[in-house]
Amino acid sequence: MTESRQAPVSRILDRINAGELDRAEELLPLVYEELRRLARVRMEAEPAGQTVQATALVHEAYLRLVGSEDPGWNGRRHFFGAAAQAMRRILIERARRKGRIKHGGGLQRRELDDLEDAGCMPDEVLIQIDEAIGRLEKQDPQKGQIVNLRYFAGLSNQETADALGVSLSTVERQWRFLKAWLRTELPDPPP
Amino acid sequence: MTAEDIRRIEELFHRASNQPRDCWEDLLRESCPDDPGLRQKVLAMLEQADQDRSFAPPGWSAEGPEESLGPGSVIDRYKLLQVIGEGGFGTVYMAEQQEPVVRKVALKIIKLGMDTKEVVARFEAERQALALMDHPSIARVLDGGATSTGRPYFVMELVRGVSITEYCDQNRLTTRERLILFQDVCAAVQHAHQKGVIHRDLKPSNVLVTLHDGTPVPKVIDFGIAKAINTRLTERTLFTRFQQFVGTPAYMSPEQAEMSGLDVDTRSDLYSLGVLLYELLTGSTPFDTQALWQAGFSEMQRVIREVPPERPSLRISTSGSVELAQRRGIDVSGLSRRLRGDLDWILMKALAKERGRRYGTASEFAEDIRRHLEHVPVDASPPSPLYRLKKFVSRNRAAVISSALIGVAVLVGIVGVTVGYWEASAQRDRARAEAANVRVVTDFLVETISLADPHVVLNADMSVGHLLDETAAKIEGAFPHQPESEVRLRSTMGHAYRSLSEPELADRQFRQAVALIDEIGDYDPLQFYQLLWAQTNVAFTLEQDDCFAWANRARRVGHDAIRAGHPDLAEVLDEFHFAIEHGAHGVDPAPIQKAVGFFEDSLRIAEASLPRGDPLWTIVAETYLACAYWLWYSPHEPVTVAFCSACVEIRERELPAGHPDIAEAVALLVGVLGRTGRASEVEERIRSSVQQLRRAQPRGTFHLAFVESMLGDCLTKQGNYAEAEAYLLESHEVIVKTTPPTAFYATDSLKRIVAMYDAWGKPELAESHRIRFARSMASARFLQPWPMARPALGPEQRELGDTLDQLHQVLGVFSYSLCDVRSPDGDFLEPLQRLQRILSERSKVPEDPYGLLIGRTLWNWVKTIPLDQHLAEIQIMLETGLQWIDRDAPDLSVELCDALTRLGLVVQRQGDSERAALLLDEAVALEPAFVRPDHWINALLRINIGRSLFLAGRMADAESFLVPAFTVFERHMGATNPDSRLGRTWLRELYEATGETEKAQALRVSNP
Repeated sequence: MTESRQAPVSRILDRINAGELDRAEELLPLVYEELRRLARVRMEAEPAGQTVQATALVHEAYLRLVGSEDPGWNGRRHFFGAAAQAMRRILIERARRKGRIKHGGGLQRRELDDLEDAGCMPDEVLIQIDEAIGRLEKQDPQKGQIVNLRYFAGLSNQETADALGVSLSTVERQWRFLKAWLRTELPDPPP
Repeated sequence: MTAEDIRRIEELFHRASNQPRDCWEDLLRESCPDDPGLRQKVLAMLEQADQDRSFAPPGWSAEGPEESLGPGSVIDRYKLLQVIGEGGFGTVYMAEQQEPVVRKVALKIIKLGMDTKEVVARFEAERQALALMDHPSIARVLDGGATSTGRPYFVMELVRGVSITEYCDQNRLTTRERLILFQDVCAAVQHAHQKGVIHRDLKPSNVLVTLHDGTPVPKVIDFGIAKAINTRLTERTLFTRFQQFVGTPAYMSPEQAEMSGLDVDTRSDLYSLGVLLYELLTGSTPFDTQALWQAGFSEMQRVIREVPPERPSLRISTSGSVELAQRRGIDVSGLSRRLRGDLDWILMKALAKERGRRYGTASEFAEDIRRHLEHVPVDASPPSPLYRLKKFVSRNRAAVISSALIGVAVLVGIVGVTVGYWEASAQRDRARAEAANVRVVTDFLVETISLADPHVVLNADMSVGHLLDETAAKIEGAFPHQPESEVRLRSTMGHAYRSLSEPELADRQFRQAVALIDEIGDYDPLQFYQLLWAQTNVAFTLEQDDCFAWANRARRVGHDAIRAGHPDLAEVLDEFHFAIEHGAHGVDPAPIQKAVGFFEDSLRIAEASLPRGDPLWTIVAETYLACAYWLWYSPHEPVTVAFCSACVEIRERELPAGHPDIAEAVALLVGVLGRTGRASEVEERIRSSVQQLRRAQPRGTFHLAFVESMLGDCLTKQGNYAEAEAYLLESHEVIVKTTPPTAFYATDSLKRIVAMYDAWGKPELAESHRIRFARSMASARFLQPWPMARPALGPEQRELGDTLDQLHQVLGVFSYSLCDVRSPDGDFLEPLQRLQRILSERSKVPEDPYGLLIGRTLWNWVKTIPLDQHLAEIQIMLETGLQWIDRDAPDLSVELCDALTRLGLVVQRQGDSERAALLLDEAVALEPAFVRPDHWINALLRINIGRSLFLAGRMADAESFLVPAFTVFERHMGATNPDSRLGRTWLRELYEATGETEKAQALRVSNP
C-alpha cells in the first residue's frame, strides 16, 4: 500500500469528518476503481467456479484505500456506503455485459475482459434486483442502503448496522422485510 | 408504488410476521379490507420470508454456505448434534466423534471472512504446544481442520458448564469464594503460559465452571484458537479482528486494542484476567462493552489505551446495586469496603496500561490474591508503612494489645526502617530486658495503633505521615519521668521520617533525642551512635551548618563504643580516619597510602575480634563509607573503591536484605567505579539493590532515587540508553523534591542525564539538560572540582572547555581546604589570555548560562594559589571571575567577599594601595549580608578572608573575620582538623602582630 494510493481517500474522509463534505460523492469513483481492480485480481486467482466474497473485496479495498489509520466513525460509514454502492455498480455492469455478450454484443468485448473469468452465467436476476431496489429506494433511501450494504457489499447485519448508525435489530428487521420484498418483485425468484 | 404504499406494506408485514401463519389472512383482511392487491403482495412476501432461504448474488458467497451446516451435518469424523453457543467467531456445536472412539465433543465452526488456509496452518503450528497442555482447568483442544465449504473448525473437549460470572452470581458466591475460584483460573493460565500458549481471548464465556463431586472447577476453553484465527495484525486480518472486537473489546488489553503489531504476550492475558476478576467482584467490566462500541473505533481504542479504570470499590459505591451486592452475600457499602485497599490495588496492577507494570505471571497474580486472603501485605500495594502496620495488626491483633514486645515491634514496623527487625531474636531479648522502660511507650503506641484498627475504615488519604505527625504531637510532655522511653520513641520517629524522605522532620526528632541523651548523661553507646549516624546523614542531606560536627560526634561515640571491648580496633580505625581527613584534598598520595595501611589493619583486626552479627560491625562499615565520602572528589579512585567494597560487603552480611544502607554503599561503589568505566562490574548488584529497596521502601524516597540514579548511570555506560533514561529522569524528579536546591545530589543527577543523552546521540535533549546542569552546578553551595563541572560545556563550547581544562591542569586540583595551597605547575598566562578572549566574545551574549559557573571556577582556582607570585595573572583571573559572580546573589556573598579581598591584596602587592583600600572596604562592607555564616564552608571562607585582610595589614578587619569564624569552624570540625590547626596558627600570628602576646601564647599552648 503506497502513500499516494491511500492519500486521496483518507483526505476525503478527513474532510467528511471535518464537516467540509456531507456526502461522499468524491469517494465513489476512487472506491469504485479499486473494487473493480480487486475483483479482477481475485477472480483470476480463484479457480473457476469458486465463489468470491464481496465482503472480502470490500474489506480489502478499505485496507488499500484507507489503510490502518482509522478514519473515524463517520469516515467508516461513508466509506462503506460508497463501497456498497460501487459494488452494486460493478455487479450490475458485469451482469449487463454478460447479457450483451450472450446476445451477440461482441463489439464491446475488449472492454469486458476484466470480469470474464468468473465462470458465471450472465445474471438477469441481478439486474432485476437492481431495478427493484431502484424503485424502492426512490421512496425510501435507507432501504436502498441496506440492500447495498447487506446484499451487494456482503456485510453482516452488524456491520450494516454500524455503517448506517442504526441498531442491529433494525437491520435484521428491515433485511427480513427487504428480502421478502425483493423476492416477490422478481419475475423469476432467485434460488 | 407510492411511499405510503411501501410504508403500509412494511407495517403489515412486520405485524403479521409476529403471528402464526394461519392468522395471516385474517389479520390482513382486518387491517386492509379495501386493497386486495396490497394484501396479496404482503402475503406473498410473508411466504417468502417464512422459507427464508439463502439470498445472495449468484456466484458470490455473501451468506450462502453459512446456512448449509447444521445439526445432522457431518464434518470429517464428527457429526453435529446441536448448537450450544454462538459467538463473535462462529457457532459451537455439540458433536459426536465417530472414530477412533465415540465421544461427545465441542466443535466450533469459524465464521466466513477469514482465510481458511492461514487459520488452519496457524492452528497446525500451535498444535504441538496445545498438546503439551495438561491441566484439569484447561479444556483440551483435540483437533482442527476445514469443512468441505472451506471454513475452519476446531474440536475441543466438551465442557458442560456455565460461564464463571453466571456461576458465581447464580450461587451467590461471596467475594472470598470468588477469589478462591479465580485463583484456579490463574493456575490454568499459568500452566498454559509455561507451555508457551497464550490465550488472547480470555473472557467469561471462555471460562466455564463445572461441578466435580459438588466442587466447582473452572475450565478455560478456546486455548490456541484466538491465535490461529488472528496472529499479528496485518491488512488482511484487520477486519476479522475488527469483527471480533465487536464481541469483546471490554476484555482486550491496551496493546491488543492498539493493533500496532506489537507482539501480544502473556501479560496481555493477565490484563484480561484482571478484567475478568473485576467483573467477578464488581459485576461489571472496567469499560462498558456497549458504550465502547457506540463510541466508535478510534475512541474505543483510546479508552482502552488511556483511560484508567475506576477503582473497583468506587465502582461499587457509585453504581453498585443492592441486588449486585446480595449476589455476593453482602450489602453495598460492605462490598465497597471489602474491595477497598488490597483488591483495588491488585486490580489496578493487573489492569495497568503499561504491561511492564502488571503482574509478571499468572501465578504472581494468584499469589497476591492469596496474600490478601491471608492478611499478608500484597505486592500490588503502595508500600506504605501504615498499610503494612494495618496488615500486621490484623494478623496479630491480640498480641498487639497484650504484649509490650510486639508494641515495640509494631513501632519499628510502622517505619519500615528495619524490615524484619522484630524477627531478630536478639532484639526481642533486649526489648524484654527493658520491658519496664518500654511500657510507657507501649501504652502510648497502642493508642496510636488504634487508628489502624481494621474495623475502622481508614481514609484513603490517611498517610503514614499523618500517623507520625499525630504521634509527634502526642510525644510532647508525654514522658515526664521516662526520658529514655522518649529518646527511644523520638529516635524511632526520626528514622521513620528519614526513610520517608522527610529530613527536616527527622532532624527535629533526632535533635530532641540527642538533647535528652545529653541530659540523661548516660546512654547505650551503640544506640547513641546509630542515632548520631542517622542524624549526620540527615544533616548532610540538608547541608546543615553542623553536618561535620554531627559526623565528628558520631565518630567519637562510635570510637568509644568500640574501644570498650576492642581498644586496638578503635585505635586503628581512628588513625585511618584521621589520615584520610588530612589527605583527602591533597594531591600528595603519601597520606592516602598511609591511610590504606590503617584500613587494611583495621579490617584484619575486625575480622579477628568481632564475631558475625556483632552490632559493632556497623560502625566499622560506616567508618569505611565516611572515608569513601571524603575521597568522593579526589583522584584516589582505586582506594575509594576498596573502601566502598569493604563497606558493601559488611553491610550485605550484617543487615537484612533490602536495607537502605546496603543500597547506599552499593550506589557509592557504582559511582566511583563508573568514573573509571568499570560500572558494568556491579550492574547486577545495583539492580538487585534497587529491587530490594523498592520492596522495602515507599516509592519516591530519596534513598531509592539515589540508587536508581546510579543504576541509570551504570546503564548509560553500557549503552542501554532507553532504560537508563527511564531511571535517570524518574529518580531526578524525586531527588529534586527531597533535597535542598543547593545540594549536590540534584546537580549530580543532572550531570548523569546529560551524559546519557550525549552518549545516546540526542544532542538537543543533552543541551537543554546541560544548561540546567550548568546552572544547578553554578548555584550549588559546594562548588565541585572543575573536572566534575566539565560536562556542562558541551560540544559547542569545546574551545572554552579545553581552555579551562588546560588551566586546571596548570593550577592543580580544587580544594576547599586552606592547607592545600600550591604553586601553579607551569605557565598559565597563555591559556589565561585565550580564556579572556573567548570570554570577551561571550560577554556579548546576555544571560550567559555558563557565566556564573566560569566565574566561580576561576575564583576557586585562585583560592589554591599562594598570593606571592604570578600576581598579574591572578589579578586577571579574579577580575574575570568577578564579572560573573553575581553581586545580587546573597548566597554567594561570602565568595564575593573572598574574591574582593584577594583582589585587594593582589592589587596592593602590585603597588596600587588606593584601589586596594577601596576593594577591601567593599569586601568588609559585605559581611552583614552573609547568609548562613555558621555553615562550615562559610566559616572556612571567612577564615580565608581574615587571613587576606591580615596580609593586607588590616588587622582590625582581619580580627573581626578570623575570630568568630574560627570558633564556628573548630566547633564543627573539631580541634584536630587540619584546617582548624591552620586557622589557629593564623589567629596566633594575628595576635602576635597586634601585640596581644597572651592570647597568642594561649593559642600556642592549646594547639594540639
